[in-house]
Amino acid sequence: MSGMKWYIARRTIWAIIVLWITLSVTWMLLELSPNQGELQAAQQAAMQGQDADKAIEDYKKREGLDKPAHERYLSYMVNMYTLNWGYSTEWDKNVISLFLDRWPFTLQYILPSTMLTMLVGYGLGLYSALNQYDRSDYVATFIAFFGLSIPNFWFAIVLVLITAVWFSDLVLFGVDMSMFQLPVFYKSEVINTSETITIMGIELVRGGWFTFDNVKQLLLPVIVISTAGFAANMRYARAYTLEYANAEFVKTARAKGANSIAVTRHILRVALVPLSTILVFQLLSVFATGTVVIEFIFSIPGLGQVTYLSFVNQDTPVILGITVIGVFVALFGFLLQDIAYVYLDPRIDYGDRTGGAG
Amino acid sequence: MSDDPLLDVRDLKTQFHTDDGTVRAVDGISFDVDRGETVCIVGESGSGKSVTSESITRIIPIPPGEIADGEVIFDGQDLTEMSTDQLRKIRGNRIAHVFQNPQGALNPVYTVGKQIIEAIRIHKDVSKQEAREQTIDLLDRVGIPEAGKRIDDYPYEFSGGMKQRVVIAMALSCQPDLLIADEPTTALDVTIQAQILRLLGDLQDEFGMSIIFVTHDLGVVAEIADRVVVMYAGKVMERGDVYRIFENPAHPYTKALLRCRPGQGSQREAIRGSLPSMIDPPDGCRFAPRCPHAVEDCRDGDQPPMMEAEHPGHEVSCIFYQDGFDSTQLDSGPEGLSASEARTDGGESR
Amino acid sequence: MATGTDPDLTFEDVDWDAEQEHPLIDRSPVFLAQVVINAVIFGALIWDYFILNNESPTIEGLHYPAIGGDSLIGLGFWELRRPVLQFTTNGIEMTTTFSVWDVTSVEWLLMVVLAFGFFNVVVPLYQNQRMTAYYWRQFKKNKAAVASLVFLIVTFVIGFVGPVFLPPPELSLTEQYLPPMGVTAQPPGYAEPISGTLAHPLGTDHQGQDMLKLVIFGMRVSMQVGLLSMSIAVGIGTLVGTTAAHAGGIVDEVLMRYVDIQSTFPVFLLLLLLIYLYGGSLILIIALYGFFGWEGIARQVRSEALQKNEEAYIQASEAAGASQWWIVRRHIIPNTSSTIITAATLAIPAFILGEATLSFLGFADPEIYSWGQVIAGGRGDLRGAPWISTVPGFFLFFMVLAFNYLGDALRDSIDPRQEQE
Repeated sequence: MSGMKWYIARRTIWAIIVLWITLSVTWMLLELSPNQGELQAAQQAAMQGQDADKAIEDYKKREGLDKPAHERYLSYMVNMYTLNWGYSTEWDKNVISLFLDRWPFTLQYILPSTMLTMLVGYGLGLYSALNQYDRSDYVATFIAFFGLSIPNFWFAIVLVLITAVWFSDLVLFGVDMSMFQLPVFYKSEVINTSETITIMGIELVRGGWFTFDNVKQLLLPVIVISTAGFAANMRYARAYTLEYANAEFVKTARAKGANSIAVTRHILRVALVPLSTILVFQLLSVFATGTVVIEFIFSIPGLGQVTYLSFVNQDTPVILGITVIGVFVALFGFLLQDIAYVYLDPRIDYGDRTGGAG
Repeated sequence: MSDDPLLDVRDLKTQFHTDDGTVRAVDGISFDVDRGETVCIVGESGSGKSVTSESITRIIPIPPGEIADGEVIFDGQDLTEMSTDQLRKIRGNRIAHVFQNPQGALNPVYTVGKQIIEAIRIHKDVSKQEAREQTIDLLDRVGIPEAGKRIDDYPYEFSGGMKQRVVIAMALSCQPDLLIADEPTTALDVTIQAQILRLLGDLQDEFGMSIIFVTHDLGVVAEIADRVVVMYAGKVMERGDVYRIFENPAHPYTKALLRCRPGQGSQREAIRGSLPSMIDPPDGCRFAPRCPHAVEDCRDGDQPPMMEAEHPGHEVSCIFYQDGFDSTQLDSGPEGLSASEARTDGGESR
Repeated sequence: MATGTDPDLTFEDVDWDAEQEHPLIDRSPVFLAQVVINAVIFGALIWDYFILNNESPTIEGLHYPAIGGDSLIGLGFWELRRPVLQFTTNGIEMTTTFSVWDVTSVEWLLMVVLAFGFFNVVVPLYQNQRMTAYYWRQFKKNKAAVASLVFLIVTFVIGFVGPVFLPPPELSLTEQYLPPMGVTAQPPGYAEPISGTLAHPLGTDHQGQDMLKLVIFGMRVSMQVGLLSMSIAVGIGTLVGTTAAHAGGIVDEVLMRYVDIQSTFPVFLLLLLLIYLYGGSLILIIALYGFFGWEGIARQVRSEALQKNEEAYIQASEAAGASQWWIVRRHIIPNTSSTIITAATLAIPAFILGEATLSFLGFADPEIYSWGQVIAGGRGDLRGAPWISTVPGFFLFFMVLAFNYLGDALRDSIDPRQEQE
């Protein structure tokens, strides 16, 4: 077991090294790019009839840009590792506290959609593989292709068109669809209000995360972001289940007299090994792009919206912070994946490189 | 106990439905297995011998597979009539399997102990602790040193021969009446092969079980078989006592097979041609296209019925044993057999 | 070869080094044709950029004023130019059906890629007709994939031929929000419901641009992004994957560690970062997706090549004294081609979706007719003019769906592991 501990320790050290490398690359990219603050300072000075060169120099001094490169690099690194990520002019806030304010808004729909993509995706994938050539297999495969191919931003717009626009004055089979109308834009007041309502003598606070209103306005975002992830998980689960469904050990299990649940457990337990290595890739790729798009469309004030606005407003400290968080989340995910892998696959050779979808 | 055979397979037909058509992997075969005896099913790859062995307890994948016709009478009950639930009570309990490739036969992510305990607890109402003790006994019995320690090891920690011993221990966990071993030694070294064969023989004596042994290796057949069933392209060509078959092979296919054996005579001969299509098999005898003695009548109608050849219990499916034909013609020189190729098994031992 | 034809030459007499080296310089007509075509393309490229200056069209038909995007830092060279089809003669505005074709950098790249694809996919398929027939029989079983292939070929042709002959969509203040043919709606700014006409079969957008033209011009952009990014990514991925697998040891370690790092860096954020730093031109987006989207392909190719490395024919080749490069080029790459082709087909829709997402968010080149941009443009008018956002989305969806189906069918038809026993 010490081999395993050593292995996990090595993976952790590796994660720290990668974090350092990516931070350095980001620093270099920023160094090589024109500094927006500098340009602004120069422009301002020029407009006020002052010397632009002097303004740039002042700006550099203020920001510590006049120091030699290695000193700037060092202080950048120290700031990054000590979570001193600077001040956002756009939001008039410390970058860290901005992120701390915003992450629950992202988590509230990411968490349920992750559960949904895994449970429904793996479940359907397994089912469809075990009923290969069946009508249900074809239907499930079609749904998966639909989910993989539909652009999530367009899917969101189509859902908004149906549930918010068309439902408002549509009567289907005598049912007034306007009662199923869903809100288009997220309202964070829902969480902050302290209004109360009384249902059957019980007084309930209306505001908060776990309220009907909040769930209702998160319904579309969760559906949209789950679709792609669910489809991908289903395809992978189906492929790996099929790969192992006719394996010798499955035949052995059936020859032992195991029932279909036990046989399925044999297949799933082995299929989990490759699936676990794909899951993190899967989630990261969906979420990195997905959160920005979803929060852009539905105006959710989470980290995705912060990302989008920081790039639009060219708010460098926030961009830097978001990049570091992205890298950090990815590294943490891969580390968890490595650890999960150790527990799932007894054959793992601790000396060998692992991770990475085979 | 009666004099009925333990297992009586009658006119079994197993088919696979594929995009290219229906593959008639097993096309109406019959044989029986008595209590305590060893029956070898012999044939080249693709002859349907593995499908036969897996059709008995219906562990072939259904779909695309299907048992189209026939009966499998095991101890008085027809297994083909049973529901899957009823059949499960027989699988592993009264009829156990050992497969060719010990590398793949064990689930790589569970310890061997867990897998054998599972096999025991499916059929016997015993506590985990009891099952564990039984498992250690079994591992010990099949010759795994320090069984008490090795029980918690994973399959990758065993060598190929040891893995096959584990698989055999698992198959024996409920003291089955019938053990179906599908090429259990093909993937192993020659020395390990001999050990496993000896182990199987010892265990058979100890437990008094019957064995169906599927193989393409005639050397193994000579060593362990009581009776032999020779299969070709989904049909039985010949069946009978092992001594009769080796001494007096009746069917031209069996004769050719025996001639291909290393160390038989001065030259080793391959059988010309290859297996016919199982989707659209030829008329008449399946072996006729490759048979040096084939005459016009061989390529007509169905596979000839099983006929007695010289001795009772030795039966052959060849028209030369019908009235009006002279079976001694088959003993004439093997003109038309090429001596160029040395292998019979067509790359069977992957 | 020489050994067969010259009876006096014995085994020992053969200069094996020469025999070994000889086939490295492939003198087949196909190879020569490939060299010639590439030389022509590169020659034309040099001619375009150095002899003609940036302001002139490559194929001159009419004089026109240059329209360029803002010169982007460090990338002025790649400035986008487009044929102009409206011109003024004696104060009368005229529209011409003739077009000048000023070949853009993206189109140059595409020509190189298409030539490469022709010589390395189409020609081998033609040369090995029995194999092609076999693949086709396998592939044909999947009706959805055949339909996808037809759809993609049609889209490809329309996307590339259309913009050469069609004038680009024009802004028109009098034809805003026209509904598609056969649809009656009351778009914003209209007092009464109006019906769509044949003049604009798919309607017009909020700026009066013809939707059909936007769709056709968008096809070209999507196809360019998909094919070019895929080619770059597959090229790098294949090279890195096979090299890592075959070289092993420290080379493998370094390459795959780099792949680890690259997959850690969220590509989307990296794209936003680089677009933030250097601006979002089409060629930059194509290059970024290509250069930062290959790590998955490299991993797949490496694991496939590692398996192939163990095969007897590689050992035989090594025993015969073949060089490492020879083995990689002649044995490993051809034998991992099923993985490579499948990965390539499945990479295309990912890049197409990526570009559409970027332009939907407004990070792409505003000069480009990207579907994502059109969809974003119609977002405010969902109630009055839902066709603006939905119509291009259908095309995007079906294009991506078709590539996904195709990739899946290719995997089934050329991956031997998927075969039924």
